[in-house]
Amino acid sequence: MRSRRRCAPFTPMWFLVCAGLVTVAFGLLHLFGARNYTSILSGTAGSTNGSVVAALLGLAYAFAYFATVLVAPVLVIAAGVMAALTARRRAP
Amino acid sequence: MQSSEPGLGKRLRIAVPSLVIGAVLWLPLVHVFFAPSLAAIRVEAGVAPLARELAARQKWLWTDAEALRRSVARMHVTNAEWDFMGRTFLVLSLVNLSLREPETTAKHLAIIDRVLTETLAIEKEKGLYFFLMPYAKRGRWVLDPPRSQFLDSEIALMLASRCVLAEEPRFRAELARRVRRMADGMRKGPVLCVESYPDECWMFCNTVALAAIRISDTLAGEDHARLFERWLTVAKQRLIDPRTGILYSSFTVDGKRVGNGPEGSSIWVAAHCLLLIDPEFARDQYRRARAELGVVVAGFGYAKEWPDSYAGPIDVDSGPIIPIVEASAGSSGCSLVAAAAFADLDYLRALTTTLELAAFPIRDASGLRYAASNQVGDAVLLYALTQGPLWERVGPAFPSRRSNAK
Repeated sequence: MRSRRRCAPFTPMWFLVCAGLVTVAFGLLHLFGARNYTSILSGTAGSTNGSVVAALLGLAYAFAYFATVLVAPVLVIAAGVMAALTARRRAP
Repeated sequence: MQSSEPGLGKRLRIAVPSLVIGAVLWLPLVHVFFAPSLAAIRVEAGVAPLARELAARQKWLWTDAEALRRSVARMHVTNAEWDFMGRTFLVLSLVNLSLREPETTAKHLAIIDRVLTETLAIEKEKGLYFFLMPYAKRGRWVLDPPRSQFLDSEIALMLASRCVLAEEPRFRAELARRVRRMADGMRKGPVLCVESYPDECWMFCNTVALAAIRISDTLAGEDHARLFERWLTVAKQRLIDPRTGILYSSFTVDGKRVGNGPEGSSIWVAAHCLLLIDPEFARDQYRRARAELGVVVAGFGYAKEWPDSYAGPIDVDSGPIIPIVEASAGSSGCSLVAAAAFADLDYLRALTTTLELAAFPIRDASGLRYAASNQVGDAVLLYALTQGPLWERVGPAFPSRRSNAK
């Protein structure tokens, strides 16, 4: 019960979990080779037959990558800042 | 049971400022992890390391028939022009690489000659339309018989650049035919431009034609200075957007209707080509394009396809445009060529930083490619990082007035 509360939205733990999930999603897409399909960003088909699946994989990869590089570190820093601020408020 | 966790409202009051602090601390730092050193992208002598990696991949493609077929097929799904332009930028890159490292010339000439021979054969067998977009078949060509300046100018530029490296009679003869045809067509046109698509002249293609004619002049000892002079006069009077001072991108043969106004994917390469004709005018066009289209934010550079004062479409030339920031893949790629040509090193580095962040580099045994790009995109980047020696060897038709005065 206590751990669920600690992971409630907009808590330091929740930020860390979000950052972790985004990074894991990116890692999985990377392992499955989805990076190759990001040519969709330049308007080029990801496969020789212009498959929709290839295009979606490319977009998902790009989304997960930018979330990992740009958003996840912000969440981690925010978690630290929030924990420090909360601790300071609780201090007698 | 009492909880020590504050309520949602209270948590938000701490979470939002924490996120802002996180963003303020992190986002301005991101570029540090992606910025290449200037030495990796720009060297005065020899070949920059990034260019060497890209060149390895581009050359490998032309030795692996299946990889080349797949790469070309993927581009043809969207735009047949890319296959053709990929050849042009590869040939130009290999010529510059050879001028930078003369001991590699023989190896590069073998690839260049294969590209040229194959391209000329495709044009002969499959005709005018193979490298053009399908709408080329729908309109009525003004010239009879139809000729596309898109094909003639880039083939002529490849031939001329190749012949700078070494004499080859069959290519010189073909170059002479193309130059004669382009120059005759330009002289006949009311705005001294030839159509690339039915009744559609493109600044990109016509400035490439001027560059090809200029290189051919230095090879053949001919002089098209009168054509260049007239072209510059007409372009400055009739083909410039009055709000930005940037050359139009496309217009009808009579110059009376503008198709696309000032456009990133056109002006960057046009300015680069104009360096061989009138360096002062070329620099002025670059400065204007840089001010209207070039953007650097937090160490990352990109280019917009359209200036703020012009509402243009998202099309196959612009590539996808990212909303709000208006970053265009097509314009950003071409801006690399101009940034390198005009030695705008801060912008060049910022653009390359963006590539490292957002174009998904893949390094393997064959070399370097960018997954978000394609063969033509990588060839354009390779050309940006290798260009210089060919243009320097040819020199401008009209050196700047300042240097004349001296």
